[in-house]
Amino acid sequence: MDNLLSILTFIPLLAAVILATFLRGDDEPAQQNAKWLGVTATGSTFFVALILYAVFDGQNSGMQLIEEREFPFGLTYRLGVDGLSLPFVMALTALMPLVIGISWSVTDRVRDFIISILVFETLALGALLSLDIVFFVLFFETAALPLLLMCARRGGKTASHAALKAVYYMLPGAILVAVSLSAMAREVGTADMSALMLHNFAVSSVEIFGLPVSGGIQTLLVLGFAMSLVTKLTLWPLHGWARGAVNAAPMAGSIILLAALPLVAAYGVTRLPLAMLPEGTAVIAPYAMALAVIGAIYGALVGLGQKDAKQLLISTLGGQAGLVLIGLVGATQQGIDGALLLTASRALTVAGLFFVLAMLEARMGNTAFDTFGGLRCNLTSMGFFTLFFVLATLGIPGTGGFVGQILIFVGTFAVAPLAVLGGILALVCIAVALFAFHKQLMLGELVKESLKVLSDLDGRERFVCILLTAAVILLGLLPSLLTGPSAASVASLVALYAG
Amino acid sequence: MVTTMLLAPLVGALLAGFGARAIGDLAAQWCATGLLLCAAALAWILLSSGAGSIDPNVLVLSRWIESGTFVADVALRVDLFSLAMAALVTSFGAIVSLYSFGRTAPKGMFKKNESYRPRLMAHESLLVFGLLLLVLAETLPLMFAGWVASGLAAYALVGFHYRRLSSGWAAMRVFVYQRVGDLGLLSAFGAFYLWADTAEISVLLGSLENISDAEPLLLLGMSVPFAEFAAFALLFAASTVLAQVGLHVWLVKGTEAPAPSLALLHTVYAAGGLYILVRFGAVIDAAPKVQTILIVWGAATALFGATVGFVQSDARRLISMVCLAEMGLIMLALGAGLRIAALMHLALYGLSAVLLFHVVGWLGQAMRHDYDMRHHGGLKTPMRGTFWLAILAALAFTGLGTSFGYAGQPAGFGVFLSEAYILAELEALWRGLPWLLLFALFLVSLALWRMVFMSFTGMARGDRDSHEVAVDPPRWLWMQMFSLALLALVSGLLLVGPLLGTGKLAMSPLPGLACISGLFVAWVFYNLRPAWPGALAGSMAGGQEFLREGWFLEKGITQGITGPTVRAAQWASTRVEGNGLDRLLSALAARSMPGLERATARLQSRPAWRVVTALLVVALVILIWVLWAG
Repeated sequence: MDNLLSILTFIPLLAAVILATFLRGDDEPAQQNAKWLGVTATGSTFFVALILYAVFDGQNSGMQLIEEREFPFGLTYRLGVDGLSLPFVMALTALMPLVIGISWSVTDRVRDFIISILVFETLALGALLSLDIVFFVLFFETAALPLLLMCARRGGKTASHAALKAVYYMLPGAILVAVSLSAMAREVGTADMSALMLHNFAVSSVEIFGLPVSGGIQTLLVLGFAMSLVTKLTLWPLHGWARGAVNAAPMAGSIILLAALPLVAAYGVTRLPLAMLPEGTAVIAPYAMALAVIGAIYGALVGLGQKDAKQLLISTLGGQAGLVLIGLVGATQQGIDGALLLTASRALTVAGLFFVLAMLEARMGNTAFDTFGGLRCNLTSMGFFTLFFVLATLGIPGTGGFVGQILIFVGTFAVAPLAVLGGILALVCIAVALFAFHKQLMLGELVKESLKVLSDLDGRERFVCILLTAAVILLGLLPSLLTGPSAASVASLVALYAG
Repeated sequence: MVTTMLLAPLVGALLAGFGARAIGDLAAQWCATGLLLCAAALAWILLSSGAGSIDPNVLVLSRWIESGTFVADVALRVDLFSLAMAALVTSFGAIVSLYSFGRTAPKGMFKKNESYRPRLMAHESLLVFGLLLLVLAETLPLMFAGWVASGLAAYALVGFHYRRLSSGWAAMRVFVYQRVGDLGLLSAFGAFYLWADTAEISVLLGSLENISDAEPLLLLGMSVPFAEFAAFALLFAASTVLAQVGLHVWLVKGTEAPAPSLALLHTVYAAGGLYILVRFGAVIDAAPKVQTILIVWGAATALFGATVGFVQSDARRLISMVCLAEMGLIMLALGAGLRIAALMHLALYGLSAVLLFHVVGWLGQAMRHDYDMRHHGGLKTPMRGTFWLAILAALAFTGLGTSFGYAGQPAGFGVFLSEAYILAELEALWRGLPWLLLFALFLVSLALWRMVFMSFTGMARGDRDSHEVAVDPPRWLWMQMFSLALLALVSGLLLVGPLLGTGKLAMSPLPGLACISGLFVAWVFYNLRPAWPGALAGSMAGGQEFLREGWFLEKGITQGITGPTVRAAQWASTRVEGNGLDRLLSALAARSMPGLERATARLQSRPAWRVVTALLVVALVILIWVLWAG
C-alpha cells in the first residue's frame, strides 16, 4: 500500500509509454491492440482506485496514504488523498474506461488518440493527488494539453486553430495560478499544500489603485485562481475555447474536455480557494454564484440557437457546470456534497449524450440537426438512451443528478436564496435546450430516406450505454458511496469556512 | 402492505414498458392494470381498516441521503390524509388504465404491429407511482422525487404520439412548466430546511406551527416575511400542476395526450398540487397575503376556464377548460382554508372528469380521431350508450341538488355538495365572490351540455363516412362505465358525511340552479333555436375570438416569453458568441498558426517523435527509481 497512489497515477502513463514505444503501424490489428491496451490500463487504474476506496478511512478528515520522496532539482514528490479528492478520483477513474469504450469506432490515428487519453488520465490524477504545489500546477495546468495536441494533429487547420486558441485561453489562468501558489508558498515557507491549507492568510483590507479590496490578500489570491478554474469549468465568459476545441476533438475527446476536465476544475475549487482561502472565497462567492447562474442561462440560450447537435451540447452542458460552482462556493455541507455528486453524475451523462452523438456521427458523417429527425421511429434503443441521458442530465429521480441538485439547492438556500432561484431558473433553460436537442433528433415522422436504413445500437454500443445508465442510477440510489467517505473532510472544510 | 401499494404501479410500469416484448402485449397490459387495481384495493383496505389515523405511522425502508443534518431516508408516512389521497390516486389510475384496453391509436401514428397500448399503460402507471410517492413520502427529497416522477410521466403521456412533432413540443412544455414549479417547491424545501434543520416531514410539520416567528429573509435588499415566502413558494409550485391561469398553457397543449390519459392529467397529476398545499397547510395559515392570492388566483382561473371552455369547438379542449375551472375552485377553497372540501371536490369532479374524457375519447375514436364538435351531430342513434353516459357525466360534473333535502340535510348528485359547501362558506368570507363563481359554474354547465347536444343531437355534420361507421364501444366497456357514472352521481352523498361531518351543513342551493340554467340555455341554443348561437357569435366576433384564444394569454406568453427567448438565443449564438475576447484570441491563434504548423510538422517527424518517446521513458524511469529508492 506504500505506493498505491503512485501506482494509481502512473498506470495510464506506463501504458502510454508502452504504446508509444512498441506499437507500430495503423492497421486494424494495431488499432485493436491500442484500444485493448487503453481499456486494460484505464480498467486497471479503476481497479486500483477501488482498492484505494476500500482502504480509505472515511472518519479521518486529514490526508491519508501520504507518499513523500525527495525529488531531483530540490523538489519534493508528495502525494496524498483525503475526502475531498477521493470522490473525484473515483469518478474520473470510472469514467475513463467508458470513454475508451465509447471510442471503439474511432479508426483515425488510434494510437495517438489512446496515448493522449492515457496521458490525460495521469495528469488529471496527478492534479487530484498532488500535495506539492509544483507538481500540482504542472499536472493541473497541463491536463488538457494532450487532448488539445491530439485535436491539432487530427483535424487539419481549423482544429489546430481551435486547439491553439484553447491554449491561449488557458495560459493566463495557468500563469496566475502558478504566481498565486508561489506567493502563498513563499509566505508559508513550504510548497506543501497541507501546510498551506493550515495557514491563515491575511484578510485585512488592502488597496489596489486606491480601491479597497475586502478580504485582503486572500481575495486577490482567489481572483488569481479564478481565471484558470472558470476556463476549465467552461463557464461564461471564458468558455469560448470549448466551442472550437471540443467540436474539433473526437467524441471521446469532447467528453474529456467537457466532463473530465471540469471534474478536475471542481476539485481545484475545493482545494484551492475553498480550503486555503475561506475568507477570500466568502468575499468572491456572491460574484461567483452570479457568474455561474449567468453562465448556465447563457450557455442554454446559446445552445438553443445552434443548428448542430454537438454545438448545442457543448454550449448547454458547459453552462451546466455553473450549478456545480453554486454548490461549491456556497460552502455548506449539502452544497459541497451535492456538487460532488452532480460533477460525477454529470460526467457520466455528458459521456452518454456524446456517445449517442458519436453513434450518429459514425453513421451519417455529421451532427447537423437538418440531417436528422424522427429517428425514434426506427432506432428504439438509441431513442430510449438519448431520452434517458437527457433526463438524467436534468436530474430525474433515481439518478445522481437528482440527489446532487436537491442537495445543492436545499443546502445553498441558507446562504444564498437568490442564487438558488437563479440556479433553478438556469435548469429550466437547460431543460428547454436539451429537449430541443432530443426533439430535433428523435421526434417527428421519419421522412428522410437516408435515415430509414440506419441501424440501431449494436451489442457493444448497448453494453456501454447500459454501463453508463447503471452508473448514473447507482449514484442516484446510493449517493453515500460517493459522499460517505468525503463526509468528514467536507465537514471540516465547512467548519473552517464558517469559522 | 403500504410498500406493496407503492411499488405495485412501478412494477406494472416496468413490466408494461420493458417487458411487453417478452411476455406479450395483452399480458403486459393486464400486468399494468392488474397491479394498479391491486394498489387501489390495498389503499382502500388500509383506509377502511383504520391504518391511517390522524397520527402518522412512519415506515422507514432504508437510508438514502446523508449530508450533515440533512438526513433523508426512504421512508413512508401513513396517515389519514396520505391514505385518502393514495386511494383517490390509485382508483383513478386503475379506472383509466382499465379503459385504456379499448384504446386505438390515430391512423399513421404507429407502425403496423407496433405495440403501443402497454407503453401507454406504463406511462399511466408511472404517473400513479409518482403521485403515490409524493403523498406517502416522509422526507422532503422523496416527496420531490414523487413530484418530478409525476412530471416525467405527464411528459411521457403528452408526448405519447412521438411521430407527431406537436406532441413533442407539447410534452416539452409539460416538463418545462413543472420545472418552473420546481422553482417554488425547491425554494420552499430550502426554506423549510433552513427553518427546521431537518428533512423529515413529521418533524418539520411539528415545527411549522411557529413559522410565523421565523426571521425574515433578505432578498435583493428587501426583507420578506419567512412564512409568506415559503407559502408563496408552495403556492407557485402547486399552481403549475393545478394549471392556474397564466401557468395553464401546458394543460391546453396537454390535449395531445391520448384522450383517456387526459383524465389522469386533470385529476391525478393535479392532485399533487392540492396535496402539497394541504400537507403544508400550516404555512399557508401563517401567510394571510398568500391566502388572498390563492383565493383571487383560484377565482380568476375558474372564470378563465369557464369562459374559454364554453366557446371551444374541440371537445377535448372544452373538457380540459371546464376541468381548469374546477381546479380554480379547488385552489380558491384551499385559500379559504376549506381543505377537506377541496379534497372532496377533487374526488367528485375527478370521477366525472374521468367519465367525460372517456366519452370524448370514444367520440373521437368513432369519428376517426376528429374531436371537432362542428363535425359531429346526430350521434345519439349510432352511439346510444355513449350518449346516455355523456348525459350522466355532464350531470355529475355540473352537479344537481338541494340544500334542504331529506331531514333538513342537503342532498345532491355529482359535485353539487362540495360546490354548495364551498360557496356557502365563501359567502361568509368574501361577499360577492360566490356570484362570480356562480357565473363560472353556469358557463361550465352551458359548455358541457353544449358538447352533449352538439355531438349527439341534431343533424349529422362533417365527414359522412365517419358518421356511417360510428358505433358505441363494446358493451362490456360501457356497461362498466355506467356503474362508474352511477358512482360519480352518488359519491357526493357517500362522502359528505365522513368528510364534512354529519351535523347540519350550511349549503348554498345556487350551484344546482347554475347547472339547470346552463342545461336550459344549451337546450334552447342547440336544440330549439340552433341558429341563435351562430347569430350571437357573429354579433360579438371580437369577444368570441378573445375567449376562443384563451383571453390571448397563450399568445401573450408566446410573444412575451417564448418569442424573446428564441430571439435572445439566436442573438447570443450568432452575435455574442465569437466576439470580444474570443475574437481577440482567435486572431492571436491565427497569427501563431504558421509557427505551430512548423512545430507540429517537426514533432510529427520520426526523429522528433522518438525523442519525445525517449523523454517519456526517461521521466518514467526516474520516477520509478525515486519511488522505490525512497
